[in-house]
Amino acid sequence: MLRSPLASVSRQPVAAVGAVLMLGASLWLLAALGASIVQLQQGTQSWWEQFGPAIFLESSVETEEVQSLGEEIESWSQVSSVYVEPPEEVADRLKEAVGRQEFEAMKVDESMMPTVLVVEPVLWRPGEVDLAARLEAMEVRQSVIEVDTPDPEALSWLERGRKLVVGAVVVVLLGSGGAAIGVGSFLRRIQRRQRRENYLLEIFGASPKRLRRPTMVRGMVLGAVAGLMAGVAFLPWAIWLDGFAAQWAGAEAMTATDSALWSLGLVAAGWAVGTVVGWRCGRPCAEDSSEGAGPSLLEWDEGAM
Amino acid sequence: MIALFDVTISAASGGVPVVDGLSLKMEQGQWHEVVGPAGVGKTTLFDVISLRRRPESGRLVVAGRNLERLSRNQLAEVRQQLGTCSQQPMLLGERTAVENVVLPMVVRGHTAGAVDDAEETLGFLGVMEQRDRRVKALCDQRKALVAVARATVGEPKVVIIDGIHERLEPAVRGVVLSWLEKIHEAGSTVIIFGRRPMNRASGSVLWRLRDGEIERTGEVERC
Repeated sequence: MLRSPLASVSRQPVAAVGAVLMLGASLWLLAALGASIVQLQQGTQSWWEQFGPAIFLESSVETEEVQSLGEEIESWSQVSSVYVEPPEEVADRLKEAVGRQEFEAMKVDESMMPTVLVVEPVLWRPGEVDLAARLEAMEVRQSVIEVDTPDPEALSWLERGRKLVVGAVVVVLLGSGGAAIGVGSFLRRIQRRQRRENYLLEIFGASPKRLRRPTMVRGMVLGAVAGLMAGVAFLPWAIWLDGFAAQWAGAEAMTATDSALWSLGLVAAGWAVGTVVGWRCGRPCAEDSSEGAGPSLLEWDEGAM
Repeated sequence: MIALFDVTISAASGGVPVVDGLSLKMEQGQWHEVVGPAGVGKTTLFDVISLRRRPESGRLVVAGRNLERLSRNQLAEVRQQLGTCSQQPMLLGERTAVENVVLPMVVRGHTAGAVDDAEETLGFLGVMEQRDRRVKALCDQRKALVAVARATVGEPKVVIIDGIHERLEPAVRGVVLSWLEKIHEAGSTVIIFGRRPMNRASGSVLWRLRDGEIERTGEVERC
């Protein structure tokens, strides 16, 4: 209060830079992972749409039986929805694929087309291989002509990819927690060096909120700087990811607006984390009464008299 | 107004109560002196009245507020009305004299004019030349004057001094007491703890503390 709260931060430049870098790196990692997961999800969705499971049914199958089969598959936990593609749509799709002339040369008509149940699985839920196995077992049904499922090796890669993502998220979250603790420890060290001043401020009537304010301001500024660094460092990653996403069939490229929003989000996140950590660490504690700071006035509980 | 109702206070180290069942009322705007021999509990009573510690039991009214149910924020507001100086005042050694003196003004939010008030106080007490010197470089007498300046800057409602004037040389003590009289005349309640009465202000009230009891001149307070 007698000087800017940032004056004490500038007196420990190495520790301050270290805390900011640690928080900035963890924020960047979180954002990079988050953006990658978004792209991965889009790519995976697109892949399932192209290579996802489908059940081909006899054209003579009754509507009720088709509906019943669809509902049965939809009730499985790994299945998000089942779309019934009637023979007319299948014929239209074939015409699109081979061309009208070729289609007419094949001398087939819509009545010869099967009814197709297109299965849309729940993305990122474990059990893709199990789902494929259950669907393949449907071939024994009388009305089922064929079941088309993705390649087992592709499915197992999908499963490995999901576990890797989950592991990466856990590691990055733990790292972020550690970075927040690191920032908190730095702020706490500054605050403890000022415990004599804090004690005197309390004697002369500083409220708990006022006592916390300098530490909160320090946390806010450190967090915002960390977020700004992470936001700037995120842009090259977004450009790289943009190119990488093009390799995923159907994965949407990240627009400039998306990148800007991610970067702004990082600044906001850094500021928010710093503020919360600063507020939390600004709380005086019993240790502050050591080494000549004076007995803690915190023992004065309201209503305790 | 400061009032204690049936207050029991133990020494900071615990054990037998220093004062037991003590009651007193100090009216606003008066000059009060609490005197007693060494070890009788003056500093303990000072700590309670200046809100540095709470009594084990009893009711405490300071600056007209009953402290029984105050929140921490409300307690802080009451503390802002007090200007206190203990026997061994804690100063910020790395800060200058004027920075130490403006501290209460900053807390009260009276930053406009805080430096002017601090300079006026330092000037009256004869330490204006030390304004920009770090407190740790000052001698004990001047440190004591800085502590008194900090306690009295901005004319707080209640000024409570615990015996620091008794450490000062006679001439310096006279300056301090004159300054306290000046702020008393401006309306502040002044409470001085010491071994001997100063008898400086007309209409001052003398309290004698001994054996855990307190006696007002011409009147005995029942415990």
